[in-house]
Order: sequence, then structure tokens, then C-alpha cells
Amino acid sequence: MSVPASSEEVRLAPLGDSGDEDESPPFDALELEIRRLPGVVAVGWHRGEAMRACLSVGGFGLSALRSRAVQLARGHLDEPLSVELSDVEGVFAASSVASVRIIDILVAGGEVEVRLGAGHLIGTGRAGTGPEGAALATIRALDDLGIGASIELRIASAVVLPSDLGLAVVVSVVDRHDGSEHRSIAYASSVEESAAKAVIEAYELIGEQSRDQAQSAIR
Amino acid sequence: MEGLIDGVLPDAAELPGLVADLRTARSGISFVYDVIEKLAERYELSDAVMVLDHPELGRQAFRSARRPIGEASAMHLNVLECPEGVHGVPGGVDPVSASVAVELCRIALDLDLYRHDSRHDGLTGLYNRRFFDVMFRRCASQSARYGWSFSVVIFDIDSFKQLNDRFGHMLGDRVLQVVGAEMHHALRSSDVAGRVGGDEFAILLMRADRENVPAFMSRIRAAVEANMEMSVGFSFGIAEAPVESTDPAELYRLADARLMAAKGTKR
Repeated sequence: MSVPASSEEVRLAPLGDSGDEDESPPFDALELEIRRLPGVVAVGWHRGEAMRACLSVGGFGLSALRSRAVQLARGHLDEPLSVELSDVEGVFAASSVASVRIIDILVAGGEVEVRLGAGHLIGTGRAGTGPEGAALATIRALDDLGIGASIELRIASAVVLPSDLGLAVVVSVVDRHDGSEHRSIAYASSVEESAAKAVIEAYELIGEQSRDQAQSAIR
Repeated sequence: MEGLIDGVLPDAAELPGLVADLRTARSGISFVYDVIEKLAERYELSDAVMVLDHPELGRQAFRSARRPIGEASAMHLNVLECPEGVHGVPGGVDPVSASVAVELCRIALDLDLYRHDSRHDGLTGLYNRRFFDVMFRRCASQSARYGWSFSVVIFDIDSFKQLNDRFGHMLGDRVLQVVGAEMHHALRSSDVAGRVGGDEFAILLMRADRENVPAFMSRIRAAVEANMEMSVGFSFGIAEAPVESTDPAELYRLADARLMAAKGTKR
């Protein structure tokens, strides 16, 4: 038999009964949006004098996260929400990197602009065209996302593929945290998109390796 | 959906009722907590945490009764370091059931994210045009039936194209994001806000006086100017239901015409 929530805790699901049938219950929609913020790995709720959201997060700009969560709450709740953060940076945080997606790549006037998304965040970076410029713009967009990406470009180079497939792009990036080098190759409809994909893959590879190392340390 | 679940999860019969619950759940988040409650009851757990890895959300932990995970001191193990699964006090959940439950919850969250993204503008987080129109029609219908009043406000950013051309899309996007953020900040949860065009926004203000709208627009302008350290102007038009109409197309036309007239006076 499960233990009922204490008086200070709140069973939120019934509140959704007042919601629109085409909409998620308000607390559910809010919780989903909060869980989508980079670094958030758990969300809990308390109803005391004011509604309180307790977030477990992994070291991704805590003050920015707090204000973003409060901002999101205003779209769903009329009552004030306080946000309590507990930093779980380390093992668990290493596995909480939200996937980065390409929103748009614009090439114009000798410049490439890469727009990336991760959860609710959007980051933009610009640099010159070609594989190196696009890779650099992607790294700047990752920085702009504010998700703790910390990589530097070492090499970005186009590779001619067999038959008439065109060009793939190989990148090598360095993890600023430990100086380790990571390589990736990607092929897409343009050299710029290939470079962006390769950088993102290399970045996510760093995240996966961090997770593996963290899990080994636990064992 | 039914075929997908049955195909992907042949072992779903391990947890009878859960697949049916997923089909009728009001949200994926609610479903996750319901699953935890059911498992806690079935396995006589006093506390339970589900840990799952989601391709977009990353690792996520959900605790029974929506309790904060940081207070999981009653758990005998550090759930933050646990593998994917359902972890409980005093015991646990058998691996097959836990695996099926986690897989169902992952699908439930996928559905939530899909539904959210199909209704929201990725840049500002406001409703997109399609879903704003759905909400608009609903408000107009309720206004016609019950006499409820609401105002529709349409506004855009003056000379936004020139701003984009001069300073680049990156800065233009930032302006749109700040406008979206300030709308989240300034509106009540009962109001409906959408980005309905490139730099065009629309709001449904429930039971609001139109006299409040200029102050609202000033607040947004001040927020943009404070955040971007640049001057921007807005033009807006308002229409009111039910006094002017309860037909959404007519209300939109009226508000849009007034927006155009307001822009005309600035030229």
C-alpha cells in the first residue's frame, strides 16, 4: 500500500480536471516544460503558503533556470510559484544533457548562421562559410545555448565521397574540460549542414563518454 | 497508436490495464505518476521512484505523489545514481514489469512532447497560429453561447523587416523571444497568446477592458528596450466580443484593420 502524501504535499492530478479537454492539465503542461529545461532531472511539488516547485538540476546556470521556470509557470498558473533548486551536478547530471537539434542553417553574404535548439533554448552562431566556418558557427551556437557545452574546434574538413554523393565533413573538437579530442563525420544535403551535424555528434559523444565514465566510477 | 504499443511492447500484458490507461491518459506526465502509484500499490511500496532515459529530455526521475526527489531520504539507495527502472521502499518491482512500465512512460512522454510542439511556436514558446485559431474559435463560441466578453488584440513590431535587414536575423529572433517572454510574464494563465506570423502576435484577453491594452503594450516595449538596449515600436488593433461580433473571422478582421490603421497613422 502506498503512503499517502503528507499534508504539505499536493496531489496535483485532480487540478487538471478543470483544464480544457484538448489541453494537458496545467500542472502537467508546466512540469513537462520545466523538465525540458537543460539540466533538470527531477521535479517535485509542494503546496504550502505558495506553490513551490523543487527542481533537481545538474549545474546548468542555476539562476537562469530559476527565472526560466518562474517565467514558464506564469503561462500556466495564476498563483505565484517559488522555485527551489537542488544541485545534483556530477554523476546524474552527466546523463541529463538534452538533445541538441538543428533549427536552421542560413548561408548568405559569405557568412553562415547556425540556429540550434535544446529543449526550450535557442542558440545562434555565425562564422564564415565552408566546413570550418559552419563548424565554428555551430560551436558558437552551442555556447549561445548556455547548456554547458565547452568545446573548441581543431579541424573541420570536407571529404569527397565515392560516386556522386558529394562531400561529407570530418570534424575534430577538443573538450575544454579535459583536453581530450573527439572526432566525428557527417553527411547531409550541404557542406554547412554536414559540418553542423558532425560538431553536434562530437559534442554528444563527449556527453556519452562522460556518462560511461561516471557509471564506471560508481561500480 | 494501438498497433504501435502492441507491436513494440509484446510484454505489455505483464501489466494489464496500463496500455489501456495510456490510450485514455489526459497527459503523459499524469500517466507516469499513475503508473508509479499502481506499481507502488501492487508491490506494496511506501515510496517509489521511476528513473528513465529519454532521448530528448535526458535522464528523468519521477517520485510517487510528485514528491521532490531531493527528499528521497527514505529510499535506501541513491536513486539519482540508479539504472533506469522503478525503485521502491521497502522492496522493488520485478525487472520485466519495470521495463514495460518505463517503456510505456517513455512513449507517454513522447506523446506529450509531440502534442506540445504541434501547438507551440519554437522560438517564443507561445501558441502557434494553428492552435491559437483553435482557442480563438472556442472563445468566440463560448462568448456567443454564454455572453462572455473577451478582447482580441493583434500587434506587430514596427519596421521589423528593416531591423532584421540591418542587424541580422539573430537579433530579430532575440527581439521576438523577449516579446514572447514578456507576454508569458504579463498575461494571466486564462489569457491566450500566440505568435501568428513572422513578427505578428495575437492575444485573447478574457473579460478585460480594452483600456488596459495600451499599458500592456507599453510594458512589452519597455521590456524589449531594457533587454535589447534598443528602441522598438509596436502597433496594435483590438476587437471585442460579444459587443462587436462573436464570429472569430470578423473579430480578427476588425482587429487587423485597426492594426493597419494604427500603422498608417505612424507613417
